Amino acid sequence: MTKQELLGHIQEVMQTQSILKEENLLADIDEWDSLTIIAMINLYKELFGIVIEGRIFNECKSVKDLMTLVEQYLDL
Amino acid sequence: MKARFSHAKIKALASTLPSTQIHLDDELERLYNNDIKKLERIKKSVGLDTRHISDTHTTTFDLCLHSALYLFDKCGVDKKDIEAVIFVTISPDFLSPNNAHLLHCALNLPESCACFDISQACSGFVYGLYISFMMCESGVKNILLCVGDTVSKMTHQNDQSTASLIGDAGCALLIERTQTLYESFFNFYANGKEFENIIVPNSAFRKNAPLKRADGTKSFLFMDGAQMFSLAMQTEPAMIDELLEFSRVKIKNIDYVFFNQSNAYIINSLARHFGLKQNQAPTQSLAKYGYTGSASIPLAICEQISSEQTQNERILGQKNAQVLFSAFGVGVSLANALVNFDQNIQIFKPMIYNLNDTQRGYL
Repeated sequence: MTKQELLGHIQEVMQTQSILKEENLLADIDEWDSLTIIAMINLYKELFGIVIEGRIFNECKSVKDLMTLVEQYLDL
Repeated sequence: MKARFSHAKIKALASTLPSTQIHLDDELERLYNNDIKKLERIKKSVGLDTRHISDTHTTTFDLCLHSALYLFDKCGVDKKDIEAVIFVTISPDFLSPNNAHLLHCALNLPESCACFDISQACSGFVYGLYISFMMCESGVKNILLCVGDTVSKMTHQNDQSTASLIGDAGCALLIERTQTLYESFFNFYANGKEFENIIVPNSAFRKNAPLKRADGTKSFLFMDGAQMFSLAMQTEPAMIDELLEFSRVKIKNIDYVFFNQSNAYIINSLARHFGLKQNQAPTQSLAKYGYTGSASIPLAICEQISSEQTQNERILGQKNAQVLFSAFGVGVSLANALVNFDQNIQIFKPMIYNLNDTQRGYL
């Protein structure tokens, strides 16, 4: 999976109107809350077969941080 | 820990809800500051819609008494034959005496009874069933098992993450020792290191706990829903696999898997993981009653009877059924059970609490 494809999946989970970019801060995204974290945990389980703990998502500051969690599964 | 029993079964089950019903749509302003998008997300992803909460004067004891009286009325079991009362709750009437003795009084049960409570929340139903089955295995013939909670009384009604989720309910089950072989299987998991993820701080005698996330000055339910979701997803599939292997039963031969009705996202995700059909892992109880803690699974079974009667596709109480329970939550704990429901099991549709039905005020 490419970074761009992953960004598309995250965009879908966030259900935001604006186009997501890696540098976007999660604090600036209205939809970033515990429900979205649950959806992200589920997304990574479905895409990569791994379960990342909620507290790790809570430590993420940006969209890039979310992507870094699964960078080992992405195409270079 | 794993356990296997061979001479115990559930004979009957009834559930009672408090009369006050709350619709999530009516809380748009108070809980969600008129954010309709957020409300719709919660309804869709968590699966919530309505819930029942108890008033000041209605307790877990009242709801379970209502269910128990109904069972004695409908099932032809003589109260004189009850040898034990087990009451699973984290919201008893008093810290002491326990609810089991209050029920013993209200039902006028024999003095030869053993009566005790089990303080266990989300996984409490399976723990109660385990202890009941173990007692039957040791020779006890008839047990009244009550499972209920009124956690709404510990929930801040302005807390978005808990108020919209938590409902109240009280169930009663008759557990019976069988002469013939009735196999059941249990397995358990505990992870005390994660205890802070669901906690009611200041709810008993510890007032100085250095809690990381919960507001230490309040005594309302705190829940880190996202962390609990991830822990459930990490734990439940492997533990269910372990139970299936232990019992040598294949998932495709199981008629129903009743997960704790805490979040449709978790249930649907686990159902997908195991390749379950939608009607194998019911969620309709969550939408109608919210998450009712220890009562969640028995209430979901009663709701399933309503659903089967409506759709005219009877399984429960009509033929032998393999049923799996998986209860994850506070502790962090997980308890699973695989039991057999025979065609004579009596399961009643959820009832609404009516003080007059109990024919008495308090006790």
